[in-house]
Amino acid sequence: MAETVTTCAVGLQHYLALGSILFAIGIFGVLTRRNIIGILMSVELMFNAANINLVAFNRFVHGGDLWGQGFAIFVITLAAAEAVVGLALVLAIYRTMKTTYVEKMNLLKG
Amino acid sequence: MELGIFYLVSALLIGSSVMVVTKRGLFSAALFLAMALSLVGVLFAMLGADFLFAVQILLYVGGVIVIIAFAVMLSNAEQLKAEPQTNRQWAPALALCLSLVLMVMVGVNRHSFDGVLAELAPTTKSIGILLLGGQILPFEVVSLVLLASLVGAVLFSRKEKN
Repeated sequence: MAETVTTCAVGLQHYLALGSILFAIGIFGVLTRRNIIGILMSVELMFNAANINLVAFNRFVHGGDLWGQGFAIFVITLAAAEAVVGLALVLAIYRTMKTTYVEKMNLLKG
Repeated sequence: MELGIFYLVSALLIGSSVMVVTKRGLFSAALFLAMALSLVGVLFAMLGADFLFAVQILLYVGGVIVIIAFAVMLSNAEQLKAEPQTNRQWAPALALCLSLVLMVMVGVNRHSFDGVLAELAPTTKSIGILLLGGQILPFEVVSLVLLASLVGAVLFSRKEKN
């Protein structure tokens, strides 16, 4: 590990720290946003943090392999599918309830 | 040199991500999200993942951002700029996020990762072989998921017949 750090200035730890910061920002958005579209954007940020970690581990730990990058492609594909279905649901909810605030979507509340 | 570029990209990425979660106008938040996703693509390029860089730009910046922008424009989200867009739980949420980052950083610094460093080479051909070789089962399953999401999106966004 010591010689990899000296030959390559940016190490795995840098990318892992950046990924954790990005993930925490995404969690903050999910917890504090009132608008459901904003929550979906924050979820996209969290997907990207996970992808950074996958690709960084692939580059620095499993160098001869590409499974991390292949897995990241699946994550991107599922994130796109989630965005499409989620935003279609948001628009359907907006048509019936005339709001995009999550605290006003209380149709099932007793 | 590489470290400087990394820190510049990281600072821009963290700044634009913070704008994504705190900006009141959702359309400008979507534009900041486009910037953040492009910067993640830059990180992929720095990590030697050239195919993922292209996929990130094509799929996220060209696809998902457009869908989000359409959702913002088709709902009343942009007219609600005057109201506060965050709930009152921001202090515990901030404490939770800071403690999460702290825990992850302590864990990452205590652990030493040994492994094989990859040499930089074009990855597109190898990823194609991997997707149709070792990862053929998830590849096919993902095609089913995409079909289901296509049908679901059409079903949910169809107008109700009265």
